[in-house]
Order: sequence, then C-alpha cells, then structure tokens
Amino acid sequence: MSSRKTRADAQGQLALVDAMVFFAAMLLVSGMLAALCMPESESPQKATAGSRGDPATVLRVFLGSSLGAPVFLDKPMAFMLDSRQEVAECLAVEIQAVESGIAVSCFRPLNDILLSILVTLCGLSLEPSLEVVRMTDLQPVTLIELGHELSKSQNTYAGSTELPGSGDHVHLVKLELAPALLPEHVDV
Amino acid sequence: MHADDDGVSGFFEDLPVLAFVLAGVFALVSSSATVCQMRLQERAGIELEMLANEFADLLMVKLCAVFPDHSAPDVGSIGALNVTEIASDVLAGMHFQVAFVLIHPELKWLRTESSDDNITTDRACSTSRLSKVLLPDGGFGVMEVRCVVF
Repeated sequence: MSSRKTRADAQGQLALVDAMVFFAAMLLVSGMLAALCMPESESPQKATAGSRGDPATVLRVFLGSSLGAPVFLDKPMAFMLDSRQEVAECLAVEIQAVESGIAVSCFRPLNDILLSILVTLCGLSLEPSLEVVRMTDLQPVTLIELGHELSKSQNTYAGSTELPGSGDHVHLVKLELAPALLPEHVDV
Repeated sequence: MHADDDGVSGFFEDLPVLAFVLAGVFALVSSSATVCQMRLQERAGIELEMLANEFADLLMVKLCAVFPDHSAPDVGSIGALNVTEIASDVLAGMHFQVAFVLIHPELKWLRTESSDDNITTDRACSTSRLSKVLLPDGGFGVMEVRCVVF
C-alpha cells in the first residue's frame, strides 16, 4: 500500500487555482521589493555639502579671514578697522567695547560686513546665525547676535569656538546653519 | 483543461498553469534584478562620493602643506600645484574637474583644471572645500575648491 496521498480533481481545476495563487503571491513579493527600493533611488548627479555644510569649518575660516573692506565707526568715537584686519580681531574689539558698556548698534557697519562674509561662505542653501556669548558660572550672556533668529523647530547644524584675546572672560562664538527656506515656504 | 482523477499530473501538464507559474517567476526575477541594479548604482554613487571627498581633502593638504606656519596657501602657490599628479594618485583613471575660486573679498576664478573637457557622463559627484588664502596685499581671503569627479 502506497503512503502517497492523492486528491481527486475531476475538473482539473486545483492545479490552476494553485498556479494563480502562486502568481498572486509572486506579484505581491515583487511589489514589496520594488516599493522598498524606490524611495532610496537617487540622482546620478550628486553634490555633497562639502565644507559649506560644516559649521566648524565655516567658523574657522570666517574667523581667520580678513574684513576685505575698511570699516569706519564714528560712534562713540571715530575709529577705523583696516581691510586686512582679521574677523576674530574685529570681534574681540567689539566684544571689549560692548563689555565696557557701548551699545552693539554702534558697530552696525562692522556687523553688516561680518554677516555678508558669513552669507558668502555659507552659500544660498544655508542660512547662518552667529552669536557671541560670555561664559559665566551662572548663565551664558549673549553679547552679539548676527543673522536671522532661527526657530526652535528648525533642524540646524552648529559649531562653536572660543575667541582668543577678547578680555578677561571666556567668550564663545557660536555659528548655527539652517537650511534656507524654499520659495514656496516664504511668506510674502 | 482535463480531469485529473488520480491527482498526480501537477503543474506542468496544462499550459495555463505553466503560464501563470512562469509569469510569477518572471515577475519575481525581474523585480529582484531591478533592485540589485539600483543597489549597485547606489553603491557606485557612494564610492564616487568618497573619491570626490578624498580628492578634495588631498588637494587641501597639498596646498596647505607648503605653508605650515600660516596654514593658508597664497594665491601664487595655487598655480604651481600639480593637480593632475594628485588626481592620478587618488582617482585611478577617473575624470575630474577642479576649480579654485576666491569667494571673499571678491569673486574671482583663480584656476581651473580638468582631465578632459569632452567627456560626457551620466554619473558624477561634486564636493567643495573652504580655505583661508593669503592675498597679495597681506590680508586673508577665502577660497573655495570645487571638485567634480565622474
């Protein structure tokens, strides 16, 4: 007696139903494979952010570069910064002045140039925001702010470094880079 | 379709059954092949990106190595840099385009170099590096090195 089980299929339909089920299963598996792969497809032309997307590099280069144009400050006293003066030195001068009680607004011509340098370094796709803070035991005190205030919900990249030669306190320069808003997201 | 009283004829006696089975297998094989091809392209893109980054880093190292005290090359040294030799060390026969652009205090193209201008490609990767550069007037500008590898 054979142990093999057989089934009766008088109309010959079972094999066809099995095949259709198999076909449907294969289609399902194929669809899942394609769906898993499609979102990761990429353009053959790829551009990495490079140094412009790295806040630490941008900050280092920014602080080491020269102003590029002379800056005249007339308030509270006439003062000129040479075009070859490095940004870090200019910031140190401004910090000392602000610490001694002079308003940040007196340094607006300098701050405008500093911001334009930052924007040049970051490119169009990133929005920079620079902050100089005095580190104290209690709470950091913000002395200078350049650029737009970034919303808390934005994804940003940040870097910071200590500014040498800016007086008795430790001053920290913080740079935050946020992706620039696409035109359709800008309120007109 | 005929009766299979003994139930032993299996899939392959009838053509419709065979057609369904083959179509299912073909669907699976073709989607698997597509997925494999996309993965290979993705891997090739990652390798190209790594090459472009390595090339850009090596260019910056060679530029700055001449001036360890300033950590910044001068504008004149950029013209003396042997870009082709550096590319042959890193890129192993791949094509490239490099541009040294002064972006601060003014926009100025300092040098461009390419392996071949007449090559067309469907796959390329670009990257850039920023660096201080010593200007003729003694100040420091900012230079961007843009590299395209394909």
